[in-house]
Amino acid sequence: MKNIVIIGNGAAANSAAETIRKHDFEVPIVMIARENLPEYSACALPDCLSGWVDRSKLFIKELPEYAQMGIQTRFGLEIKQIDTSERKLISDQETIYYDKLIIATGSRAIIPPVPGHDLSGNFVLKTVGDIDAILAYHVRKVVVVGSGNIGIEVAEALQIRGCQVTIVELMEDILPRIFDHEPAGRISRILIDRGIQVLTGEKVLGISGDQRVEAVTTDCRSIICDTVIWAAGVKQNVEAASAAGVKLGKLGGIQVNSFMQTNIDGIYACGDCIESMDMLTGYPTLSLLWPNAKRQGQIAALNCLGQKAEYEGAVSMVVEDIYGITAVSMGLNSRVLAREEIRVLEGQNRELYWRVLVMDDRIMGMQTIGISSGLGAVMALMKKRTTLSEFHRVTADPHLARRIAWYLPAQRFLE
Amino acid sequence: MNKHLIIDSAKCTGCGLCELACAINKTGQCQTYLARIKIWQEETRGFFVPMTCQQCDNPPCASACLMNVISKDPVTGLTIRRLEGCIACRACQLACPFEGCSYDYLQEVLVNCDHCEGNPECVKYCPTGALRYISTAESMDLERSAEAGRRCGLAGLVKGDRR
Repeated sequence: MKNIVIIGNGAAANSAAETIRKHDFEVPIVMIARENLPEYSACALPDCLSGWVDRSKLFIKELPEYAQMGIQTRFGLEIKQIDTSERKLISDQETIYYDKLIIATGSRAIIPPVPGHDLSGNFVLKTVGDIDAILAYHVRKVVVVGSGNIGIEVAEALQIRGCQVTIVELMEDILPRIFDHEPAGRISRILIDRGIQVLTGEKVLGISGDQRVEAVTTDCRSIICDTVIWAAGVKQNVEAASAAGVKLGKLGGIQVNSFMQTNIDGIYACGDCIESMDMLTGYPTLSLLWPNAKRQGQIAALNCLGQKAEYEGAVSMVVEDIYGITAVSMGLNSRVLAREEIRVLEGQNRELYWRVLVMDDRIMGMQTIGISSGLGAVMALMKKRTTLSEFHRVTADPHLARRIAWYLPAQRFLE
Repeated sequence: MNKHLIIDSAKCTGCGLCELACAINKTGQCQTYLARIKIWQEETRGFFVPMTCQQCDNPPCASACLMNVISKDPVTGLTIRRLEGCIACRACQLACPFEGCSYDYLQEVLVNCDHCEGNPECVKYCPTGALRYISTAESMDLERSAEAGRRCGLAGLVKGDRR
């Protein structure tokens, strides 16, 4: 009887385990994770920090549920070594044998090695433990380094808690990987109106203080603070896998094919730790988003069970709630498409703003602020790679438009 | 699932009674923006399309959900939500092409049509019969007779013809 071992307990790992159980009631599943906690939603962590979501609400599963699903758990165990020839996993406490292995180790937040990065008062936000640590530490004046989605959400959450917040971003705009210049400027104005200081184009050189953080030095100024939260990016947890000979890609994630197989037979990988293909461009990308991880988990599980399932590629989809204003980004942004010839469809109506990027008559990305309806249709058109001429042909004909009615809400963005 | 909410947009006049009935039944408020069925008003061209949750087999909202609160009911086949887990991130709204997820401003969660436990309020109030709640067999029957009618040159005359 073969068994399947899953390393990890995040979105990808749990979706893989659930998919295996759905198709095969008997195969033994073992889940190994470093944290001794049931599955929780990492996306809701900033909401938990602001107090909008209760800590208990973060957890998606409870520990007994794993046993009910027939999954053996080895939580609190860190895999040190993978022996691919004898198919075993070695940790300090025990050795676990596997027939099929799914690596879903995820990623960890990085703290760059600037002077003072080890003082008390330096935090990241990636796990429930980080939330507890931040809440236990008396945060009053905080500097958030980096302004990806976690950076912005943490800044907002701590501002709601009554802290004085400064965001320091290396690039010239906030949310540089998600939004273009114009929408990023609008978001930054919302943040500034609420009293968050936004400093862009500044590099953090070091942190000063005696045991505790007292100030952050950038290349322009020195900011007095008691806490630094690093939201400056993540690193894939691939050390054990790469030591075992699993091939890594150029971006630092595990290289997999579209069936989520690594270069070693019987080892699959999914989630944050892999490098997947972008759905729109076909280039390798690190997709660090929850829906992609869940889909990759399903694909890895199906292929593990011997069914052929092919991954269609990762597509970015980010929804930010900035003080009640919904900011949405999907697909690619113009920084990614910098070398391509793109057409921009832009529009605004007071507070509302939208921007659609079109390349070769196909939608490649969309960014909106304050709009929440009609976007699903654009998303579906982007995923289906429908050309705009086809779209206009359908919507211009009343007979066709009524039949394919879901095209209609997208009309106002694509005119 | 044995019964479906069938929308016949050719008969819809855009009166908005379904929206009001839905909002009153679900929230107690007479506000169309709280409804789980929305009418797409194409006034300049004179047609109206009611849009609601399509109860997909493999729903994109479920795979987009950040809190794993959306699932398929194994008995009824409906897309159901564990509302106490919803954090109102609106990811499901972005994933749904059919405008099936609507934001409930009172509870601050996202909701979708749940067929009112097998007795949809919108269907009761629809004055023209654009909304029908019928079984799969019945809807297939109607489709079949309509198609037969079209092939005999009786387009639009047979009962159930949607064109």
